[in-house]
Amino acid sequence: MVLLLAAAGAPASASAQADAEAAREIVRHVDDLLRGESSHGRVTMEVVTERWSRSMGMEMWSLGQDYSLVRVLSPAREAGTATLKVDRDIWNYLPRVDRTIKVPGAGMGGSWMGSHFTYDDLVRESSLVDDYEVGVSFEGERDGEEIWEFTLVPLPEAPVVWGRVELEVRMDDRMPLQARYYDDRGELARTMTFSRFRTMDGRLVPTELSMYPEDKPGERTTLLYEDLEFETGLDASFFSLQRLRDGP
Amino acid sequence: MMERWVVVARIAVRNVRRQLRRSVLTSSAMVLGIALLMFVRALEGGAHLMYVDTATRMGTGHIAMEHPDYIGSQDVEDRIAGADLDRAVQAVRASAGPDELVAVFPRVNVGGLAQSASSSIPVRIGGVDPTLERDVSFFADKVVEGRYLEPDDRLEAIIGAGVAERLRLELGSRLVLMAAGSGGELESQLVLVTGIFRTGVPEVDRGVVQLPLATAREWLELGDDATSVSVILSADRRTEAIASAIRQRLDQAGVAPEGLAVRPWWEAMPDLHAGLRADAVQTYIMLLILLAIVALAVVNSILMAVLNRTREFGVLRALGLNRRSVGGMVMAEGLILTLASGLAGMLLGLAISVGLFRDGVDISFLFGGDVAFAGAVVDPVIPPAILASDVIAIISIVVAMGILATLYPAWQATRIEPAEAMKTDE
Repeated sequence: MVLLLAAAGAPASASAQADAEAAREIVRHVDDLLRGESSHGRVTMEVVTERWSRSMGMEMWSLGQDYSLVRVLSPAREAGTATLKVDRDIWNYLPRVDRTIKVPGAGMGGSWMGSHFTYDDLVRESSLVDDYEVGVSFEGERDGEEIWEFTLVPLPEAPVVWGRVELEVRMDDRMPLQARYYDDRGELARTMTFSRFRTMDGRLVPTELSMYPEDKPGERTTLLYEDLEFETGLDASFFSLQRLRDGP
Repeated sequence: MMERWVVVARIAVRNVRRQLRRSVLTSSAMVLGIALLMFVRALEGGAHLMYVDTATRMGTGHIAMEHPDYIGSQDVEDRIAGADLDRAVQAVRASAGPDELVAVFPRVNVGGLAQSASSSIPVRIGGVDPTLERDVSFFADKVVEGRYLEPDDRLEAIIGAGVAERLRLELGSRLVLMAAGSGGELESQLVLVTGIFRTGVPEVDRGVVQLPLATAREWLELGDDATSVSVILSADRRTEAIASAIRQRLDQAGVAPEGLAVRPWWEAMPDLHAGLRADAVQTYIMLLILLAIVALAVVNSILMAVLNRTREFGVLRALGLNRRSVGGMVMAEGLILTLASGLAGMLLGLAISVGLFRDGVDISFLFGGDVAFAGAVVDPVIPPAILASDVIAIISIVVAMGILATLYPAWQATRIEPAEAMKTDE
């Protein structure tokens, strides 16, 4: 799950000269940082649109890329609303009508809890390095920081919509700064920024993630991680429909 | 007894002929009414044949063969196994004559999600065999940009103009399709836009994507299976008979009806069928109201004719004609009049439909030259079609009108008393 942060714990030995293999390695590291093993944490999601903005408190659990559970804590009106992901299937639980609804294939493009993320963003499992050719397009100082800029071009038959992705990674601690997603005309479609790097449960992670859709100027969705723990020891049986309804 | 009715009928004919001007005036309203009914139904019938042709060529076919549960579930779990598919195609070839069978092709139809860099929308995805479908596909005719699928295509796909607009796609764009495969898991497939079609049906233009059958099978892990087999016939006339012949052959070949349902288009597309029927019923109701008004005019003029001839009927009664014979005579006059004008009306309607508009009625002036209009594909030129069912319905309407319109005047005629009638001035 893209939204859950869990460090993979790869050694942070920055190589100054990033050749193709090293570039792949760094991208894999960043990707794993954002996907991770098992984790548990609290996060606040802020959604700002042209007409309204709101903030939701949530609790999240994850295990690898196959399992995750998100539960809304606040506002009270929506508390108890939950989303469960097992493999590539997603269920929503709506406490007010006491219903569990499976999101159908055709519904995967729908917005997740009113945010700018779609269900499909939640279920994407393939790793960046499996779908893209990685190249270094910039290496050096930009905006006062030493960075690499990787350009990822989809492999010929990879099932991805982007024409290319640009990923900026800080050299000294290999933290991602920005990811820019372009369509196949070369126009910017969305930007993700990473900031507020903190050490949580012994790992350095970005604790603020924002997504800016280019076709809706001024709108964004921001995830703020308040606390995070890793290697929680949860197993797959935790992620059940029963848990979706009743909570932990 | 018989002789008397012959005499009555002869008098009736003579009366109609003697009062030619009155007879023509009385019947002209009816001639026009029936001609209008005939012509409107011919136009509507022509439009309906076009809808059916279009709908069947969009992929369902005149006869659709599917797993019985597929129509409800739309799930690839309910599909036709490869072996049954071969038997189904054989059964079709054996059941329909070579002149009748235009095409038979397997399809993989699934609901899924189409995603581009800018958005994603739910779509109906069709895996089609370009070799088998190219000549009959409605979509092949409606490609407005790029080209239709070709036999060697693999990642190529054609999309509706509305899909292109909503996902901001152009020729060559990447498009990712997502749908549940044979294992029930969501699978993704990359395709490249190679053609854009505009059918004029908003739901289709906004929601249909087609890719090569082989690619769809590989993507959804279907092997040689398919979700449906479509049969396109040269005419709709024998659809029912051919469908039951296919059913019989499949039964003999050991394919159970629980595994494969054979449905004529009106069962496979119940919405279309119900729509066409509602359309026809609406036309009949409108025109029956019109004809009821015409019938009142006919009642009026026959009644006037009876009241004007009170003295004449009185003389006939005095000469020994009984009440029933007088009533029968009026009835016969009315029926001769209505049946003759009904027939004339039908001939006039036929002449207008076939003679004047044989090449079709161009209704494009109604739509400013654009072909698309509310919910249906209509070529703006509608060739009228006269259906046997309409001819039978119209004949029944004419006979019913004739009887109903003359009942009251005939009853009036029976009430004439000879003594009273002699007193009235001619």
